[in-house]
Parts: sequence; C-alpha cells; structure tokens
Amino acid sequence: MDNCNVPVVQTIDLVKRYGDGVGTLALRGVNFQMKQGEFVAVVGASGSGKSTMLNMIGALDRPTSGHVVIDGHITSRLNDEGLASLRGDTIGFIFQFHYLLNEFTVLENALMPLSVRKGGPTRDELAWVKELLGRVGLADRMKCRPTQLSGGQQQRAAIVRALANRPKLILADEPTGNLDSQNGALVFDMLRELNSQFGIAFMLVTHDDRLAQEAERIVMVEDGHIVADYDVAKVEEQIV
Amino acid sequence: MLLVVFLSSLINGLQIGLIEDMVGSIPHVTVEAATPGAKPLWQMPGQGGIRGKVVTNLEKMATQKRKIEQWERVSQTIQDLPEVAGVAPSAEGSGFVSRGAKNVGAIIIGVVPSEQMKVMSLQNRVVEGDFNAVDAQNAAIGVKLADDIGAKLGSRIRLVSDQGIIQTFRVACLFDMGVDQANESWVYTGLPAAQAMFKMGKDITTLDVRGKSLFAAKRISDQIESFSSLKVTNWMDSNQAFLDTLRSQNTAAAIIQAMTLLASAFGVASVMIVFVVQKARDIGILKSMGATARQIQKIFVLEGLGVGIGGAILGSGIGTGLCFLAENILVPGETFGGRPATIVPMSWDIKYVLMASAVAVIVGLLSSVVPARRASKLDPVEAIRRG
Ligand SMILES: Nc1ncnc2c1ncn2[C@@H]1O[C@H](COP(=O)(O)OP(=O)(O)OP(=O)(O)O)[C@@H](O)[C@H]1O
Ligand SMILES: [Mg+2]
Repeated sequence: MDNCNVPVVQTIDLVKRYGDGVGTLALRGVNFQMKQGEFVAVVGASGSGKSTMLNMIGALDRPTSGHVVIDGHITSRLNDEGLASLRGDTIGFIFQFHYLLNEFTVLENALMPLSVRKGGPTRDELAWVKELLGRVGLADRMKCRPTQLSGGQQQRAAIVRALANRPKLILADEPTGNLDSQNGALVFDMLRELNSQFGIAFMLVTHDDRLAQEAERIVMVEDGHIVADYDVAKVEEQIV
Repeated sequence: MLLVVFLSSLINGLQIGLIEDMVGSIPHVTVEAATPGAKPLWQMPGQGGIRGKVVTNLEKMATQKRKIEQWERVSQTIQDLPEVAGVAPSAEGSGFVSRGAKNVGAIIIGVVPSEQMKVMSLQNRVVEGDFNAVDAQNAAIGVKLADDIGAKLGSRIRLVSDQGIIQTFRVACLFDMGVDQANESWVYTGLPAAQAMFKMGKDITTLDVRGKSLFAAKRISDQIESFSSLKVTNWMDSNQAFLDTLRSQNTAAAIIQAMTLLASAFGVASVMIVFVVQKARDIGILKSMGATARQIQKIFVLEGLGVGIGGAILGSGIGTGLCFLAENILVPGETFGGRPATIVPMSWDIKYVLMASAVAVIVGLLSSVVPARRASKLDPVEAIRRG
C-alpha cells in the first residue's frame, strides 16, 4: 500500500444528508482525490459543507451514499473497529479548539493516540513525540497541564498529538480559526514545514484566504459541491 | 451502603436483644410430667406459665406437680440429642416467702446451680451476689420480690412450701429476669432442699433443656415428644406471635435494604451518566484518535467500579462508626437483653459489612454498564461539535 501512486484520499460521489426525510443535503456528490504528501486548503462559505467533508474523509462519520477510500481502504467496507484502527493508524485530527484533556499533562496528551492503541507508546515513539514538542517550542512545557498554556501553545500541543502516530494524512478543521493572525501564521507555517519535512498529506479548512494561498492546492466548496480545485503555483504563474 | 450496614446491625441488634429478653430468662425447651388439671407451662396466658400462674392462682395449685419418672434416664436421652446443649433438672412447687411480718406467694425452684446456668443465660441476669452459691442454705430471689419483702443480699428469709415445711435461707443472689412475674415470685434453692420441702425424695418435676441454637427449640421438643409422653413445651410455640412479628420485621428490613440498594444503584448510574455527558467531548476526541467503543466502555465500567469501591469503603466506615456510636449511648437505669440498655441496641457484624460492600461494588459495576454503553456509542462528530 505504500505505493506512491495510491492516492491517500479518494472520494467517489460522496453524499451526506443530515436528518430524516428531506433533511439537509450537506454534500451533494463530491469526487476528490489527494496524493500522498499534498497540502490542500479547503475554502468556502460557512455552511457549505467543508467540515462535513472532512468528517467523512476522517471516518468520523459515515456517508449517506458514495465511498471514501483512505490509503487504499474503502471505509464503507470497514466495521466500527476497523474504522477506529484506521483513524488510529493513518489519520490525525486537528480541530479549531485544541480539545486537550485537562486531566493529563501536555506530554501525556500528545502521547494519547499511542496510549489508546494496544501496547502503548514505544521508546522510539516517546522520543519522536518529545522531539516534536521541542520543534513546536513546548520542550519546557511538557509536564504542564493544558490550562497552563497559551492559546497558541495549546494548539501546537494539539498538532503534536495529531502527529504522534505518524499519520499519512492530517485533517485540520480551521486549526488557526481560534488564534490571532500572528499565532495563526506561526501555526500554519509549522504545519507547512511538517508537511514538507515528513511528507504527511494535509487537508486544511481555513477562512483565511491569505493562508490558503500558501497551500499547494486550493479546493473551493459551495453548497455541497466542489466548485473549484486548482494548484496555487500554476495559478500564480498565470497571474505573473 | 451505609444504611445497609447500619440497618442490618440495628435490626439484628434489636432482635437479639428482644429474643434475649424473651428467651434468656426461660429455657428453650421445658419437659414436665403431664399434670392433670394444670395447663402446660407455656400455654398459659402471660409469661412464665405455671411459674407465673401460681402466683395469682395459688389456691388452684393445691395439687402437687407430678414427678418425672426415671428422670435420670430421660435426662440422659435428651442430653444425647444432637442439637441439645444442656439439660438441668429442677424440682418446683408453690409456697410462700416470708420475712418479718411480710408474706409473699412464691414459686420455689430447686436447682443444681451449675447445671441451671447451662440452660438459662443467668450470667447476665444476676444483679448482685452469685448464683453458684445457691444450695441448702442459700437462695436466689428476684429483685422485685426482694423489694416487696425488704430483703437485701445476705438477708435471712423463710420459705414455706405448700407441704407446710418451713426452711430458712440466706439471700445469696438477686436476679432480674426482665420479666415481672419471675422477678416477684421466683425463688431458687438447692435441688435437695426443694425436694425435701416438697417431700419428693429424689424426684424432680421439670427438665429444662437448652438447644445449641435458639431456633432448634422446636425440633428438640418434637424429638422429645416422639419418645416420651411427657409434657414438652418450647419457647417458639409459646411465642408464635412474637416470632411472627420478628419475621415480618425481617421482611420489612429486607425491603428497606433492597430499596436502599436500588436507590444507590440509581445514584451511581446517574453520577455516571452526568460524567458521560461532561466527558462527551473527550470521548469524541479519544475516538478520533482511534479509541474503540470497547475501550471507552471499559474506561467507564472501571470508573463505576471505582465509584462502587469508594462507596463501599466510605459507607462501611461511616455505617460502622454510627453503629459503635449508637452502641455507646446508654440509657441510664435500663437494661435490654440482659445488658445495660443503649439508645438503640446494635449488633454489628463484619458479615454485614462484607456483604454490603460486595453488593455495593456489584451495584456500582452493573449501574455503570448503561452509561458506559452510552459513552461508547457516542457519535464523535456530535460529541466534538457539542463540546
Ligand atoms: N450534525 C448535523 N446535523 C444536521 N445538519 C448538519 C449537521 N452538521 C452540519 N449540518 C449542516 O450541513 C451543512 C454543512 O455543514 P458544515 O459544518 O459542513 O459546514 P462548514 O462548511 O464546515 O461551515 P463552517 O465554515 O461554518 O464551519 C450546514 O447546512 C449544516 O447546517
Ligand atoms: Mg466547519
């Protein structure tokens, strides 16, 4: 499966309807593909279906129809246990809010994806997580509780947590939405760096067009459809 | 939990106290020769049967009680029954106690003190003196009788049997049987002394039997009846109403305890449900990191176990504390079950604590199952969104 030609994400006619009967049609047939190591920004108006799309791709929720293929696994063919292990092995999540667990230290929080797995973190993994914490400037905050950190620090800890299991794909839903522009830019740069350095694919929802322009590729969602999908570099070439 | 320990101790304490008060002063089973015209001991109204009856209806008892034929053999046979703890012979009859100008009707009971103490819990009943001293010169009398005739420990009294024989005794022991009729009319003397006063020779009128357990009385009395034609009475038959009361009290206690357990189960369950709601977001996050439903369920069941164990320890501690506290508040001048009376009689037993603790832990586990399942079924997207 480690073939570079296998897309890390592929959706086929993805439809999601919320509620019974007519309900809300949040996704109206999304076909989307993402290569390994790609950095994709998802933009679109509020309520257009960005979060819904991310949740389907992240196997947090099941689509009404259509398919999601993650790293070669067809999620509709997996049972709950299979989905859980797919989330645990292949995907990392970053949300608008850090959602660190207050009962645990920063280090314990960052190790959580490894702790919920059978066997717990190995020595190598512990070293990896500590290194990541150092990289995001939290080396001296590892023994702190999340509440003792600033907003930016909390979000950085959450990023390390998403990276702890060395996922192939990170799904980030407005990771900078709760930060001021300076901290937002800092966190964004960090994600970009992790992307280029470790080849982790990123799918990042943002309302900040300036940040979106820093991505490799921009996907625009409107009313449950993808209405635009382009490489930033090529577009810039044309403009210049 | 707390309540279960406390209630069990309280109810058991009450019952032991009541039964002690009731039965401690009488032998479990009494064997007598059937007396024509005289009703059996326990079927008479009020406490103490013939011993009580005689005081008020002395004149009717002019006919002397019949002796038990070959009583040594009968006694040995009874002693050999598996559930019998002790058998004591006594020679009883009616008469008077007099001191100075005062004359009071009495039941004179000749006993072998060491034997008698094996069949009645006299130890707790002795107020002053020593029951073992009872013999041909020394008698034991009830506290009320002593009051009535103005006798104290060491006083000289005269006993007059219904055979007209007079004997002088020294009061060597004062007892309080917890029953008025006994306290105001019973006089214990040595067996040979009574036999002589009632002109019985070596004969006796009564065999008092103690079972190894209180509740063996009925079986023992049935067994004795099966091999002899003697009049056999036991405390259980004579106190049917009392036992019924105890039984319904037990039922009531069981219901209260069941209710308490139910309440604590709901308590644990609701604490756990609140906990699940509070932790919904964290559960969602854990699921997004690959935690399985089973893992989430395990966390909450363990949590419930923790609540159960915590409750058990706390409840047992406080319950036991309350029991000992209640046990140490004495009511001055009162006795219950032959001991100084406490405000509530308690009988604390490690058995209750262990039982209640086990139940609390099980209840904690069981009542966490529903919330744990709820937690494990949480939709991670919903949980994260709402949090
Ligand atoms: N759990 C839900 N139940 C019912 N409707 C929902 C649910 N989640 C989302 N929706 C609806 O689906 C549509 C898409 O929602 P979604 O959250 O994907 O939008 P979004 O693009 O992420 O918006 P925003 O930028 O505000 O986060 C909206 O109309 C929303 O009301
Ligand atoms: Mg959204």
